[in-house]
Amino acid sequence: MKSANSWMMLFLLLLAPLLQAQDVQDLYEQAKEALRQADYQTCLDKIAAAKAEISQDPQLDPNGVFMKRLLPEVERNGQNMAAIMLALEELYDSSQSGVTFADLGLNQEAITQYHAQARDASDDLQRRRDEILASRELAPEYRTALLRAPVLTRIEKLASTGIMEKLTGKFSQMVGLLTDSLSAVDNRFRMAEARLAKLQKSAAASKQEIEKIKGEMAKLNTERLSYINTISEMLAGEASPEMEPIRVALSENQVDDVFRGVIESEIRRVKGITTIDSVGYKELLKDYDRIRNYNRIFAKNNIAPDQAALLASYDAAIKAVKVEVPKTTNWTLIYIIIGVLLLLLLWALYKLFGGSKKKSPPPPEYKSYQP
Amino acid sequence: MKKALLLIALIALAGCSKQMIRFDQYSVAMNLTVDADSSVYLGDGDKFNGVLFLAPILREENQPVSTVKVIQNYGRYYLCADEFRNLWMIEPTSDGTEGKIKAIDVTPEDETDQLRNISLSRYGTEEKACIRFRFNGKEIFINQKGGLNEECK
Repeated sequence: MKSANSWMMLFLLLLAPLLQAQDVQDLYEQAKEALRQADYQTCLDKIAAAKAEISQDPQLDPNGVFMKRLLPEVERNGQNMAAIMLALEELYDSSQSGVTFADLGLNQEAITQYHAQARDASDDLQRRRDEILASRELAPEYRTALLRAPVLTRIEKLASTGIMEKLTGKFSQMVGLLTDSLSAVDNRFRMAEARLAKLQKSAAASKQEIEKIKGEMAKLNTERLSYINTISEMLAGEASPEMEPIRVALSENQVDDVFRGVIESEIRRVKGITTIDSVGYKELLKDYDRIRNYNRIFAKNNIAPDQAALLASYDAAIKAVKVEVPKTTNWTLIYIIIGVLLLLLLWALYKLFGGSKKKSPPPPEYKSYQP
Repeated sequence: MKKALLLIALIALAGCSKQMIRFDQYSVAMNLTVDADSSVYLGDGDKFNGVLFLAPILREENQPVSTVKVIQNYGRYYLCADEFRNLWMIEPTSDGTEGKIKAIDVTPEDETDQLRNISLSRYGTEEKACIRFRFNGKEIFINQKGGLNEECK
């Protein structure tokens, strides 16, 4: 299809200058695309360029739709994203340098406190991050892009592992102390266990002596679990390379042997229980969950192999324990009996007073006269 | 008396005539995906204001395309795609169910020439805006009535 004025068109095109300036719409599209990549600086540059083009030649925007409506909308989103990103960068920098831990000494309690402080710092960091994200409006497509921004990944890493990593130095000093204490307690527990086994075989053993050793074992077991708990707190959070020295030290100190021993002695303890009340049974389940959690942490950090098989035996032993069901009072039956007794009482009263009145003969003065 | 009656009649006629409001029909350029049935939705997502069925245009161009650029100016649509040989003007009919199409060959000197690096935008003033069509490093203007010019006039 050729237009009639082909030659005129040819003439026009020969005159048309080679084009240099970018289209306002292209700049607008590029600005939006940059913001979809969370590149707010490029976005704002493109918006500025588009505005400059229109200022130079207002005919580029005949109805002012770019200047009044489209460009300001993207610009506002770009500015909001810039403000959010800047605040997130500041938050990251301040958290990176601001989170410090006072020296609490070399003891088991200190680890629990350090761990609580680290968790609080991590929660606080995440809360402040969420506040910043919600502080300014962004169109959904740009918010999605913002959530992929590197600064958010850095903050996430700092919250999940970075803060705990700051404790690596402090924890490293404590690893030896902890594992030595754990080994000592574990040895004492095993010795007490052996002594109990020997006593139970002997006919001369007094019940009082057996109970004393059992009490001692329970105390040692609690202490042993407390050390294991402390070690698991040191390893809490994501497994990071910075924690490697601690993991190596724990592996070298055979924490896995102690941990396996703990599970085995727990299984023996549970198997020794024939019946238990519901409160005691809940305690057993709680202990099981705690040990299963330790297993998850130790396996993840390669401190000990996954003890899934032992845990399955532990679980089976708990399930085999019979739970005593207390005899409950049958209140329904009691209410029925009380109700029946009340009805009987009412009936008896009625008979006693109402019934006797009917049967009493009429007074003599009302008797009919019989001639 | 006659004058008074005439005046009343004129006022009554004026009252009965349809009221008009200002209505600017234009758009920014849209990059639209061509569906399997050769149609394009005019708009984005769930915000659109019609469908163009492009089968005759695509047949004429004999060029497979996945997207087309469309812009509206004073009720007419202008459509093109990279490697098309024409810019297409689509003028909706008064009943709003069809559109008259017209191929505008902006490279009459070369029948085999294809249009590349195309862009469509509006240019001019609020009262008189043209379509600025850029292609192959050149540009032309299409006025309100569909006429081609070197400038917007």
